Amino acid sequence: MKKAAFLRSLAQQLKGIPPSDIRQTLAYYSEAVSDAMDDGLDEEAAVRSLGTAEEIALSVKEELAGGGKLPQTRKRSGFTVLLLILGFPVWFSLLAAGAGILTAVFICIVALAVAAWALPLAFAAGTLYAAVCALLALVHGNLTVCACFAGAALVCAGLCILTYQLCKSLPRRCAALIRTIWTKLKALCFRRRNAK
Amino acid sequence: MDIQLKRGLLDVCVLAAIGDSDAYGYQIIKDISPHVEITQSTLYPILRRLEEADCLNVRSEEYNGRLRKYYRVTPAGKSRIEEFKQDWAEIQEIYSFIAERTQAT
Repeated sequence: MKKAAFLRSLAQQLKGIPPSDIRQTLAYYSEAVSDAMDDGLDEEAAVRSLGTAEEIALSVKEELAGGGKLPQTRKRSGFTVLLLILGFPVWFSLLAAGAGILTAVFICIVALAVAAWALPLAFAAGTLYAAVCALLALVHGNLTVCACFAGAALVCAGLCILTYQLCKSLPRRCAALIRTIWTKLKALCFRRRNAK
Repeated sequence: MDIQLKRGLLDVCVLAAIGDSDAYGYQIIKDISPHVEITQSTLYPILRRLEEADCLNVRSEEYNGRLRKYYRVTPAGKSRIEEFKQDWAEIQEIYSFIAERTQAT
């Protein structure tokens, strides 16, 4: 068998594994044939020295399966399929309820991040209001009232800055929380599937 | 030889065959074949495994108008060889135990 025919046969035998692995394997064996020919073997003898395409494909697939890179084809029995169909009203309702609860949790987390910004905004408004009142009191010559409002404006400004610093990192933390919950759920589902 | 046992030994064999210089697949087969039965279909998965385990670095170089892959052992690969050599004493102990026990029966 010539090199081109051998590589075509090998490509055919390798169907089912990732395309990148097929390319790498074909490149390797093409090189192996060329090296054997450089060593003095004729083309057909060089191809024969590699073994059959079936043997090579089997060893590649075994290696990939061992490393978990091959997609595992799961055969479902007829009974399982029947159970899935008959149980559809139950498992689908549960699945939908679970998805609804998860969505509600995520919405609450996002709402918390948004609502928290009301605090610094409120304190900022309070600062502005107290500052205006202090100015008006100063204009009217009421120093005591002016001092009270100025103090209140300073307190509001301080609280505004403090709550702003806290709220700045809130969207990032909420996003991280959502990601963590989602990742843990996915890990739980896949662990159950692999344990089967 | 048991397939699983041979598989583990061949990994280290390939690393030792490459040694301190760069080697290509066909050359590795020629170096190992006089000592251990090995084919390209056996070598290829070993090279992939060792590369994925960072025991080998791979580079391509032009040779006779085509690209040829050269393999070089990394520090991690050299550590693997050393670990095997250290494990050899334990393997010999196990062998002695089995030989002793089976001789007595």
